[in-house]
Amino acid sequence: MSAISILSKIEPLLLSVQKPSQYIGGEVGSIVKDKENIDVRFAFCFPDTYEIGMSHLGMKILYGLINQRENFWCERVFAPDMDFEQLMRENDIPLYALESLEPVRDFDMIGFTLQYELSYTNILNMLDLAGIPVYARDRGTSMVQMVCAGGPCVCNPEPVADFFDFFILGEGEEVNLEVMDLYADMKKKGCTRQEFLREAAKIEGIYVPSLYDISYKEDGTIEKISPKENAPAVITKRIIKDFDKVYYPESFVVPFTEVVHDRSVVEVLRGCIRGCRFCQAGFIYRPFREKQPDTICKQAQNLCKNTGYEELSLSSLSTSDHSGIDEMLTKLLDFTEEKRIGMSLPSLRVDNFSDALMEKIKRVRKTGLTFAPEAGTQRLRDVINKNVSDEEIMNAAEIAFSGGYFNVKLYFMMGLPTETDEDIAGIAEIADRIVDMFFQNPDRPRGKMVQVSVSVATFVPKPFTPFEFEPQATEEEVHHKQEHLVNSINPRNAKRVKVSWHEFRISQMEGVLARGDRRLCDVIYAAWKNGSRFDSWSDRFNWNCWEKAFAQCGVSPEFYASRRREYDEIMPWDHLNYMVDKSFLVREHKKAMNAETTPHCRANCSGCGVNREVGRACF
Amino acid sequence: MKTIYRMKFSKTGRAKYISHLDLMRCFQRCIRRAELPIAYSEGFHPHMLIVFAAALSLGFESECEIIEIQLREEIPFDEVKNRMNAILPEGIEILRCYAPQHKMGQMGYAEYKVTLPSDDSMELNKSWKEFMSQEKILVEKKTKRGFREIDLKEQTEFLSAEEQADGLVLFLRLPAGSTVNVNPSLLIETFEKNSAISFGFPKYCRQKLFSSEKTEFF
Repeated sequence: MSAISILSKIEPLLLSVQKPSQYIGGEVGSIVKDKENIDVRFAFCFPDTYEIGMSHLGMKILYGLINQRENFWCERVFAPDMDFEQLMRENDIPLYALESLEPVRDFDMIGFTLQYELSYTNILNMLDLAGIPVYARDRGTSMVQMVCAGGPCVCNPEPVADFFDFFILGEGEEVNLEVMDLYADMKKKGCTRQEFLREAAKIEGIYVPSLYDISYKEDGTIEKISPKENAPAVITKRIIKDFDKVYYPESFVVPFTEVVHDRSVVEVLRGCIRGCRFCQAGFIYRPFREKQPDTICKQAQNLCKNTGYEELSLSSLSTSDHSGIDEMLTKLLDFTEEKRIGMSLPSLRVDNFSDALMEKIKRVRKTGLTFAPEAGTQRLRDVINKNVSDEEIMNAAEIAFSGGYFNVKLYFMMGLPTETDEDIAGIAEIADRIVDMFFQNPDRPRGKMVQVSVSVATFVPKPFTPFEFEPQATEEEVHHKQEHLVNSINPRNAKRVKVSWHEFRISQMEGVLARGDRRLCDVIYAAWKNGSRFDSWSDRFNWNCWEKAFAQCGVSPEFYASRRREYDEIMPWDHLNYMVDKSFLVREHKKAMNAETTPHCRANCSGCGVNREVGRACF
Repeated sequence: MKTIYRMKFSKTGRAKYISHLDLMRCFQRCIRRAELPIAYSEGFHPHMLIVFAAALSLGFESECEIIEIQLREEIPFDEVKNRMNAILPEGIEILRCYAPQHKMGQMGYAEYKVTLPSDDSMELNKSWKEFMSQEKILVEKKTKRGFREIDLKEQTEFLSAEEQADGLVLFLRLPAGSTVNVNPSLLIETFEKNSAISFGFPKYCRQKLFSSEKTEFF
């Protein structure tokens, strides 16, 4: 099916769906090439809707990177929303890419980004809509439709291993081009799919799941992970050594319709020095690397100029940990003020939230402020190594109120290891104290009512964190904690403190998929067949589809979510090396059980192992 | 010293799916990309001084959309046009840039080309002529204050019809002012309900704007 026939098929349908411009491409910054001159066509698939996928920075980077190469063409593909999916199926319209409007099934490589576990059923749905066999084993022997994936969830890709030909571990700026070069070369030589996959497995960072056999013990845990056909026993993730010099796009595709993050974004640092024990990103993105303030400033100026965006934001796991934050912000604010560009600063930490920083943010705008104490008591914050004290939280809120803010958003988790009712009550106590402090503050904004929003996520243990051994809290435990939290808030503040939390089943499914193994592939397939889509959207998540799927496959979700793992258990991801030693995770877990903290990496190296892999000290 | 630049632009192809609100945002960004010295309003939340005339329905093509911008410096009209065309997305093209002659409020009518896909455009044309020969074509029109009955016959100026191999092409002039505004799709949908002959998905293109005196709008 050609572009023209897809266009003529979708034209009569577009006016009956929400936000039709998301299905038609043609945005400023989108790249159209002549396919006759292309060796490898790459479909970059984001397994969620356009408005979410178009907000994702990784896609913008890799889209620009691949399209820089004359003989490669990267196009964008998103999951159609339910209304358009139905029309596509009724009218035999295959999943197509937005630049060429040609079917994804005609592409050489189909690459998904695995950003969150609850997008997995969307991947199956997109493959099916494309007319590509969902299971990798059904894709034959020729070198077409090579389905691959990258992104954070690839650190444990086992629950989706059966659907992919290969995975790309770690940062993609180098390895993506290497694997595409190999593909172009082998396709010209007329090699088979299996020949290509065996060669690809030799590239560092490429994991071909079909080259590994997994055997299980009687208790259901893994007995052995066995490589075949000379595949490496351990696959190590890729990292960019010189982060300051790495490719960064000079322009973005600028959507017509509004998307979640619709602005220029500059990535200022990678990795995180903090080592919060619950946070997967804090471990899998190591080592910590920064861009120079001048590089950041130049990239910001280029992006704003080429996209026309009126807003700029800085992206990282913790922007205020940048060693040159003051210089960076001063330079950026000079240019953004001159060009009437608004700047937003996410990811600020309360422990270095200073008056001076506040002044800089205030030059931008006055909305709400968000802090993430994560746990209600000092003891539990020590357990999770969130090195923030009550006083620092109060101090930050005080500065915020004096600065004219009156909305404060607080992020917490419940169901953390060792957590007691006292820790839950501590969440309410912090919220109450912040309300009291507002009224005691003589400089508080007048005529405004303080609003403290407490958002409580259910803790999900993740691979490559010290809590990967921990059971996730059960439904009964979580419901008890939620009740206890609401009852602990001072009734006097009932209107000023707003508490919200995630639905338990969604967090549990995230937990199952995060630490799952290959036996979950059939469960995901069954759940998708039962109707699961967009599981990360609380209004679309349907536990019944999953519950039925577990029963159909004879798999217990509790085995994956609520079971304690021994230190010596073979994890489904043990053959993947994310440069953080398991012995370090065990050490950190033991410290956590004693509520002992670990200083951040700049203060003291805690020996996670990454510097040995990189061949230099991090600082 | 602020100078007003009025631009006539076309919106065709993929661009017809850009909604009016999205189009405004798109132009703001394109003006930044073209690095035009756009003027801003005074006040606490300054915004770009941009005005659009007569919003176009989603899915319609057009060869006569109007945008007006104010610049802080004087730049030749052709340069503004060329700088915009260099960066505008596929489907949007500035056709002319000039000093306004009419006030925006003087806009009164728009001419549309409507294509009704059909294998038998002769029969369809018969049906259309029958439809248009009625004394009155009364429909309920949704307004801000509920529904109001209007006579489409009175409002529509039927200019001509072309019977083509793949469909019937109609040329219509309808009110497009700030007080009275009739969307051609209202007429076509009414026709579809009344016609014995069915047709495919209609295509609309706004082709020309007129003042309330029915002279071409500049």
